Amino acid sequence: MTLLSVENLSIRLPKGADREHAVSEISFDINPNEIVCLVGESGSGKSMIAHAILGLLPPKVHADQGRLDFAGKDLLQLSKSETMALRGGDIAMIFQEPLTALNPLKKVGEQVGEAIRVHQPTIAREALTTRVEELFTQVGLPDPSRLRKAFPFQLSGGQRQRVMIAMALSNNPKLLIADEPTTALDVTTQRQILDLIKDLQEKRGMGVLFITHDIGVVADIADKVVVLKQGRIEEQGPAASVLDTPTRDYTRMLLDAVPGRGSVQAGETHANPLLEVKGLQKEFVTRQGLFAPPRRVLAAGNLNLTLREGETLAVVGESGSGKSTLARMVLRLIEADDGAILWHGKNVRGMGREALRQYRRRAQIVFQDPYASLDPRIPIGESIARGPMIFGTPRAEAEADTRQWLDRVGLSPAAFDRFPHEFSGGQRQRVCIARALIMKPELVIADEAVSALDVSVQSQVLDLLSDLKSEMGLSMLFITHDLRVAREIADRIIVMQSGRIVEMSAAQTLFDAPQEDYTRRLLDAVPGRDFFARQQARAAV
Amino acid sequence: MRTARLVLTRLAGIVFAILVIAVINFCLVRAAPGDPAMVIAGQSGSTDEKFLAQVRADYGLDQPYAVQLGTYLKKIVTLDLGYSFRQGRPVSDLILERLGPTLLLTLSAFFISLIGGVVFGALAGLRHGKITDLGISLAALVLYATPVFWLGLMLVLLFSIKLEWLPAFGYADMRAKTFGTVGYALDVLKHLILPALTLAAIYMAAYTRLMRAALIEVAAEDHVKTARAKGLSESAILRGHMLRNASLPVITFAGLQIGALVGGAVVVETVFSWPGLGRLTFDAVTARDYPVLLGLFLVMSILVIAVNLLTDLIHRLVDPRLAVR
Amino acid sequence: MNKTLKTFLSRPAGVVGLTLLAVVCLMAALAPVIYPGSPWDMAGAPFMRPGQNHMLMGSDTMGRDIASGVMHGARVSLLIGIASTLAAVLIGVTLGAIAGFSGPMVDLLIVRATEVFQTIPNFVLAILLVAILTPSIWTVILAIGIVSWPPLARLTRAQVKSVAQREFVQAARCQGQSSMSVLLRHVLPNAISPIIVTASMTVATAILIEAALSFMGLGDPNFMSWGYMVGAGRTVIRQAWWMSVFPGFAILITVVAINLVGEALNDALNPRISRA
Repeated sequence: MTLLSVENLSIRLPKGADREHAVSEISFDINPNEIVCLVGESGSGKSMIAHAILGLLPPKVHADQGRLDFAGKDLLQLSKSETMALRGGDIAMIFQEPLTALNPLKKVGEQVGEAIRVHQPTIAREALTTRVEELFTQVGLPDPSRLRKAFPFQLSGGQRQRVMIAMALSNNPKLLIADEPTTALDVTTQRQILDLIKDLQEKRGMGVLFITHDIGVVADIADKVVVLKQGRIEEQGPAASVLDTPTRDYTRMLLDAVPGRGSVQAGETHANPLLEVKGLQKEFVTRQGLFAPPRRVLAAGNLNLTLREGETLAVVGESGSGKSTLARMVLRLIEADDGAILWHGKNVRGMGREALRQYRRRAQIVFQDPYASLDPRIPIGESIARGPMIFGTPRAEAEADTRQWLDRVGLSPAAFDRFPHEFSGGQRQRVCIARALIMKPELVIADEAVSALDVSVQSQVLDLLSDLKSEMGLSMLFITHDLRVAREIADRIIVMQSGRIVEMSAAQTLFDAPQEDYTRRLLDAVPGRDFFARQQARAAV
Repeated sequence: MRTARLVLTRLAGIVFAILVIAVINFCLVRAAPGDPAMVIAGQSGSTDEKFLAQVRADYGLDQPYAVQLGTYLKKIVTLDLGYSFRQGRPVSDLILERLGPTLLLTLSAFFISLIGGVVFGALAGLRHGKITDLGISLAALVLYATPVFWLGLMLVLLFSIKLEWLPAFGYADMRAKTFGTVGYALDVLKHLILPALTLAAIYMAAYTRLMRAALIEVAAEDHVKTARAKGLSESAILRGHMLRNASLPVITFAGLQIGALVGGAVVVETVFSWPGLGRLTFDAVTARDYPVLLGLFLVMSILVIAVNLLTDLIHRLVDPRLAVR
Repeated sequence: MNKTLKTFLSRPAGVVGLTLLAVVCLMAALAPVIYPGSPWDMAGAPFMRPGQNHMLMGSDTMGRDIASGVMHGARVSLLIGIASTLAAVLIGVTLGAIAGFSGPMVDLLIVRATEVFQTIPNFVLAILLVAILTPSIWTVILAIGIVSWPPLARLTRAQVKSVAQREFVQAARCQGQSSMSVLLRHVLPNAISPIIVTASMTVATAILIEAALSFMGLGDPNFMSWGYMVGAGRTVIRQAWWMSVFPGFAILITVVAINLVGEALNDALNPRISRA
């Protein structure tokens, strides 16, 4: 028996969008007690399908073809009151960003209680409270009687998502729609939420439509997979068959693009140290008011590390671990409180203005957000050429150089005069790489440089970086939250947590024999780990 | 502990503010053309040498500036705001007897404008792009650009002169004291309507525009989508998840605007001969009675800071994030 | 730039505002041509109704031509509105930029001072300033400038702080650009749009403050201004509505025009809208 059957669904976009339909001719089924993963890159239209099911499409966007068959009724033809009865009743939904998805001004218990009361208006107050606390317990929230009185901003990201799940479960839905529910979370939290969803689904026999861009997540939880590309279904079927024996190139590409498989980089070098960090210390102090005690956050507690010439060192950590602060302190974009940063043995923290300028020329950075790291008012060629010109290269030569570099990072030299908003995220990141490398640096710091990119683009940019690195003999300090990416590119890996270095070892060692508990937890949390390990083992045979 | 810290922070802020205002007053008197004693005495032309000499001695005007400032601050702390030579009375007495009507006018205007602004703004925001929105937005745009004194005059022209519904000027009828308590109150209320509406209208326009924009923004937020996904009706979503969230920036802004509201009251009281601080200001300007002006500025500023504390309190009640921090 | 202009002209607010503003400017420019004499001179009998005695808007209690006053008043309103806004921009942007760039102590001091200036009743301060420094066109400009800068300072500080945090600014620093060059080439151009919009709206409030000051009798006695005319007509409104209605209407139109232009500018300069 099918729970929800999507038949030939098309969703029309308003005029002026980049294409006519968000999705076209989509058909798939969801059965009770099964998880269907809808996987695709950004722009594939996967979220639109989820929103169409609950009648939550944005204004001016509507389904112009197809049926959504749920319990014998077409969801697209329901009356307003029928839709409202269904929402949060038989079909519930959770969203990507639990912070914004909760009303900041209401206690979380009230928000969950509200969801119950809409569908059971006669429920007594005590019964409601009991039910809310029961739900909180089910989703693993500690101390429910206290926590239900908390406001969203007082909870952690993972706790907020648990509240969202409790809210969704409050009327025992038959179908749960989860729209990228773990994307905004740290990797260890993501693992807990995934386990929770899987567990609840099995206990309750729910059907789950799980939307994600991460094929690793798919491998972990899916019973059935639907692969979307540009609004059309590429391939669908049972998880085992789609993942193990994909029939389409696109699916294969998605699988191959997942970083962190294959063999790790060739281990250690004994070249001269290029950059040494000794006893680096940084604490952020924010003052709320004149008399309030300042809040202190440790960003760097006695950091020690060495980067040798030609080496790639990855710094891995979850949000708040201090990894980005480290990158910025190395370039003195943020001043450290104490400690030393040695560049070819010279202390960077003691450099005067001119020495610092010369140093920064040799140590370039590529930032995370390709949308924020290019000046929107300046043509990209100009942004790149300005670097060498500051150091005395004549304009004509700098421009010619720039065109060469544009070509080298895979863009057309004719892109010189175009503005950042004319490029995609991946293209912009290529521009940023060109801007860094035209300075002929010895060190490139990549601060989450591929985190904002789709997985296929991510692997291209990673390839570009490692090609250029070996070509130019660069050293690289690679900051990332993603262990898979680190494994892909690094010789050695540092794991950071709350401003401290937890573990530092060669990439191979770290993956095969992690020393610290936290490292092991990080490794276990990597989505799709078992699947890819199996796949690799099979390939080896 | 948290409350104590909060009170301490607030007190420090108030002391700092009063200090800044006192310093402004002090500098102004010294920057004025001519003898500061003349400014403090509030005289021009005819001079009473004996009084001037007394002022000089009183304010220590032969001392260095730092000492003079200290003397001035000491006077403020002891609530000595100087003496109006023209009226023959201490400035603090003059101000005190006018405080009531001004509070009545500004507070009623404040609440009318805030409530009206939230209601009309919400209405326009809800009907975003429809004819209701267009009408309200246009009215707000025009009102927002209307000089407050002119609006007052136009309302007088319409409601007092043409229609003869409401009294044009004053606080109460001359005979009002004989009407009994209720009659007197009703009479004051009748006199209050036009000035309060005039003053409220301008700010209502500003709050309407703000509320409209805030509501449109909140409507697009994720948590509204969550509420919809829960199965709430549109009206429940509006009541439970949009109105309160959208009125937050309006309350913040209204708090910031109290000072401007008091400034507006000066003009409105002038138009309607409302016997408050504003009317006193106008009279003091006409008579160039500087000590009264300086005192008025100080007292009105303190008044505004006090009301600001009040709006801050309201804000804390509405926004739990502030209450806990 | 072309795109900005196009967006601006595609908004009804922009077109209507610009047209109204052009009319006001034309009035200011043509005042000495159409009414060559001083607007203070008697032009006929007092209390003439509009249209009577060839006076389009009637005459006031002294027999001065209201129409002439309205035309000449446009000059004063625009002059004071623009000049005092420039003063406010100078004070506000400078303080805001200093606060945004400086260390926490200077920043805190400027922020607190700005807050105080923003909370105190600014119109009362303007009255005090003009009254004590004696009314003239310069003291009026100064007074309005002094009470109008706080929003500009707050905005500039916020803008500088947020733009300076943006990664392209840090990238420019890493390229070796000097602080001055980073500030001039990257921070200011990206921070300036909302400041321009707010400044344009400040002209409107400045005109309103000037009108209120003149209404209270604190205008420059040498210049005919709209606020003064409304104030002079106030006491005789029962007999002669036209003395207050026309100059007040002129203020209304001017302020509406400037606010409309400001709104359209806001849309045009906002990259999210104009470049979408």
